[in-house]
Amino acid sequence: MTGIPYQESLVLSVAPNSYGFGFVLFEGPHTPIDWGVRYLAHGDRENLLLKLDALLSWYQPDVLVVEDCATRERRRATRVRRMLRDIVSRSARHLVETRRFTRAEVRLLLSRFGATTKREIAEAVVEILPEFSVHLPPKRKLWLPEHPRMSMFEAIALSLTYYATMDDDFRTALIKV
Amino acid sequence: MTSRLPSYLRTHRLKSGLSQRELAFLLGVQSGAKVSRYERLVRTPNLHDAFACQALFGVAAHEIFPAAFHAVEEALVPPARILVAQLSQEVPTAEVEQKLGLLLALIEQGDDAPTLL
Repeated sequence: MTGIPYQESLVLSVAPNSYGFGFVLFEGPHTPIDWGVRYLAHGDRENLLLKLDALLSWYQPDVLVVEDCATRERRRATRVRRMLRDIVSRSARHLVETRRFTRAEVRLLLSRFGATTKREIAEAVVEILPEFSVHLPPKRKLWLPEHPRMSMFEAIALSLTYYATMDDDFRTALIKV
Repeated sequence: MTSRLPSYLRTHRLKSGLSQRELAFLLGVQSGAKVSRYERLVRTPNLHDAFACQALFGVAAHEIFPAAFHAVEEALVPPARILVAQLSQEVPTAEVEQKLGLLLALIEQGDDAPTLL
């Protein structure tokens, strides 16, 4: 990373799913700058790279945070794994440092909230950053597919995990919230 | 914290939950294209829109549009240098000293301005 302190560095977090990918950009652990969901047609690799390029070129983040799904604990579709590989290789091309965190690391951070499912993780995120409460999708019915915005909450949780690894005080504050 | 992005309009708009079209309506236009251009800083906001955003979000206009502010700040530096050179040749009265203090502070501020994206 450049000489910029992590509190002021731009941290982009990306979480792909079957709809496309959710993203969030932070300029400090309590300062989300931009967030949203980018939709992609099934397997549209070219569009993924285009949309990612647009984010990386415009914001020029210092760090990119993605999920580490190489562990056995996390089962992800081959397509999502491929998307993650593409995202990481594209960020390297933009000379952006990549940090990966497993779902277990995210869960550990949010253990105080008892967050294990995606929904619980999203609710924990809202408790930490209330400005995202308006974006929290309604609770999913068993017969319904996952809401596209859940990927955005995954991305936020990854960013929070990144900041927690960088700053013990932030980590302690999260655990004691 | 120093601003690292050229425009924080999108951040404040997202936080408020407003769509581009709704913000455009508040600014007195029908299409959200103008807001989109402000967010990407393809277009520099005029004084009315900058103040409207300040009133709406409760954040100073120069914090919402830091790049536009720094551009204006930097544009002031060359004429300020010329004025300093002119004033330096005058008799150093209290009034001249006051003007020089103001202009030198402005030049220093302009030189220290961060380079935004």
